Amino acid sequence: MIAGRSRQDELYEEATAAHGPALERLARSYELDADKRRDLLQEIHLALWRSFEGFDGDCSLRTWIYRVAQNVAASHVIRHQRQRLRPHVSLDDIAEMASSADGEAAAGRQESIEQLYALIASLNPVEHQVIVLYLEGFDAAAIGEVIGISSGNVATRIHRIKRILADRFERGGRQ
Amino acid sequence: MTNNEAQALWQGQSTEKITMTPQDIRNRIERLARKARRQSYGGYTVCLLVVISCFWWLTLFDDRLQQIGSLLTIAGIAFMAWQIRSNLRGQSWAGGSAASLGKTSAVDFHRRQLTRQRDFHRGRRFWLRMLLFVPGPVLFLIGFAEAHPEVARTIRIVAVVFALELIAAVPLNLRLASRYQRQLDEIDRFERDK
Repeated sequence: MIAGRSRQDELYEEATAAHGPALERLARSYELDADKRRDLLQEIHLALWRSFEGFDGDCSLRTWIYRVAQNVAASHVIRHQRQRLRPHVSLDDIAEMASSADGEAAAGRQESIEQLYALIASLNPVEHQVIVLYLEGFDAAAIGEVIGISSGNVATRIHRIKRILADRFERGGRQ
Repeated sequence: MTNNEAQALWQGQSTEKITMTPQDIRNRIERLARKARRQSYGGYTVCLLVVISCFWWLTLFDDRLQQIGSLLTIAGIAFMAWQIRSNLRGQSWAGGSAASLGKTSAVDFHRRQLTRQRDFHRGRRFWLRMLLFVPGPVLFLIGFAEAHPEVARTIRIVAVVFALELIAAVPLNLRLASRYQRQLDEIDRFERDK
């Protein structure tokens, strides 16, 4: 029991040391309200620590961490869904909006980040997960493993994400 | 801005670091467990008080229909409360094993959660809830109207309000269910789409 506990603690400490800031960015992408975000982040940490009791090494530690975090965040989103006023859109819709909109300048770093969060928050849940993992530097295979879809499917989405990001920020940068 | 720059921008954000040691987490889980226990005891106490009040309420009526109606109403409310409670537990990861969060892919987990929500608002679970909730108040109102013909008009108004509430609950729940269904369809499309 004690050995189990210490292994759990070790894994948790390893996870937070390597992915702590990424988990915060993930929580921020799901919850813009600061208080609720702190709650969500704590919930992710609690779930992570508890989950390590059952970590059997079937997948990499990183995949495990992001599955736990994404699943806790998904629960959070569903719990608060009734408060959500705006419907989700798909990457295709966003690509259309980006090409038809008059384009707001993404001047400055902070504004670009805010624009990125607004883009992510408007996406449907699965594409939301893909884009966050992509921005964290995951490749298609790793994203597929966390999300549970083929890497080919992920690659298609990433291709669209890249186009949207390039289009949106390039136009913003020019203005 | 290139995509690499977008990734650099994302990863370079300043983050408000949350520091929780394993001991902090154990303490927090302990606190949450204590809070959950307190809430459970509070809930059981309220249930007990409601049941006692209901049985006291039953003694006020001699009429058989009113008594049966009251008992069925209590049963209907209890069933509804149980369904809502189990649905809330299912919504939270705490309702299942935490390890399953790491073993389940995000799409499967999301689908499971949405399916649970959808089925709460439509189908067998929803109609069973409605079916068990309706007979009690109806029998009670009929019994009350028979026992007190002088207030039959008021009873009719109460019956109409009750019926309108039930009728309104159906499209409201079905609308929520179809919203969850749309999200499930979106996930299916996502998996098919390449």
